[in-house]
Amino acid sequence: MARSPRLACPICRGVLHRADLREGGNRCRRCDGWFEAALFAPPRVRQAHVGGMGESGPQAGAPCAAHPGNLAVGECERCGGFLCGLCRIELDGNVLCPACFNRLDGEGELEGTRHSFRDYRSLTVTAIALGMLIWPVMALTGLAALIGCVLWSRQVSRQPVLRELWGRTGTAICWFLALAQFGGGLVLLVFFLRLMADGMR
Amino acid sequence: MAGERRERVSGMSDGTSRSVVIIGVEGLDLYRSEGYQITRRRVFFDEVELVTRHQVLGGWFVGLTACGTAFFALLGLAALAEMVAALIFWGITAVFAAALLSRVLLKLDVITVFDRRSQIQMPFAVRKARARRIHRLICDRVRAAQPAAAARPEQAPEV
Repeated sequence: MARSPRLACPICRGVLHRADLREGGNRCRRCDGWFEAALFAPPRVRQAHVGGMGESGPQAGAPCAAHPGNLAVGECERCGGFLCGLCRIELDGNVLCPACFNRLDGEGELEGTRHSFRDYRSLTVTAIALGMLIWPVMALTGLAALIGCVLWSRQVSRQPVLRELWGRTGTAICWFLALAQFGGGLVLLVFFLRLMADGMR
Repeated sequence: MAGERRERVSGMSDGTSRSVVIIGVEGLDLYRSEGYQITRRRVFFDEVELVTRHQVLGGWFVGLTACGTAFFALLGLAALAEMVAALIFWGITAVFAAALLSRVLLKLDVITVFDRRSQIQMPFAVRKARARRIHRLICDRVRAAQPAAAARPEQAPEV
């Protein structure tokens, strides 16, 4: 069996070879730590045959829009162009050509390709915490927290997968605290303004 | 990804970042929130090579809770003249001692999933039965995904 250096001991991170592992209980030779292992053999990435127009002839099918020598195996669901096996990109249940993929990816429309998001929830929590620490600026931090909540809700509606991250309860608590802080901050502001006006009189 | 059977598996925090692992039909998603940025990493079941489960004590946690226990117990002793203050300090000591004792007795279960490129770790502090269930669930989904991937014709060949 080929030795794979990619596997590591889950305890000490020392290199483990697949041949040294067995199903069930294992002991690391380096750290002597015990762990239970389940081994799998993922299928190798296979290379498929791309049909050439020369092999099948023009009667058998249409050529790919980008590779005239290749037989088309489908159409792009966005632009309708013919696609060979090389050009066919399947993502989030849609079949796209490379040009449409690049365009949609550039516009941030493909959820499956996004792997980085702005964390508006943390920004909101920071604004709320700041307001609690520096209470004279509660109206400002409350407003910032409310804006953060709105941006977070918009982001979640575009990327529903983010809803699973911190749960509905946490989001509801954030909304409540942001509203309470903004309201409290406004009351405080009015109180200070009245106090200043009384002082000037 | 509507209709996918997705479940929040584990959440952890290391002081500077928070991570959440969600199990889906295709694989495990790790969401890591660091600073004001969330990054997503995915381990696909059809590429998994190894799934492990082990127990650790967690040196940092044990050290900090032991220090907390000792510190507040000493404060309680020092404040014996003021009984109310001493009781408050011993109450805090009890919280630290309970956390320390539960970790020493139960340990931290950690599930690690290795694929061809990366790995994901999921800690389970208290719910051991859940850790075993999640371990079985991951193994079952990998066993189901890999034969299906082997039978699937390759869609994007390299030439």
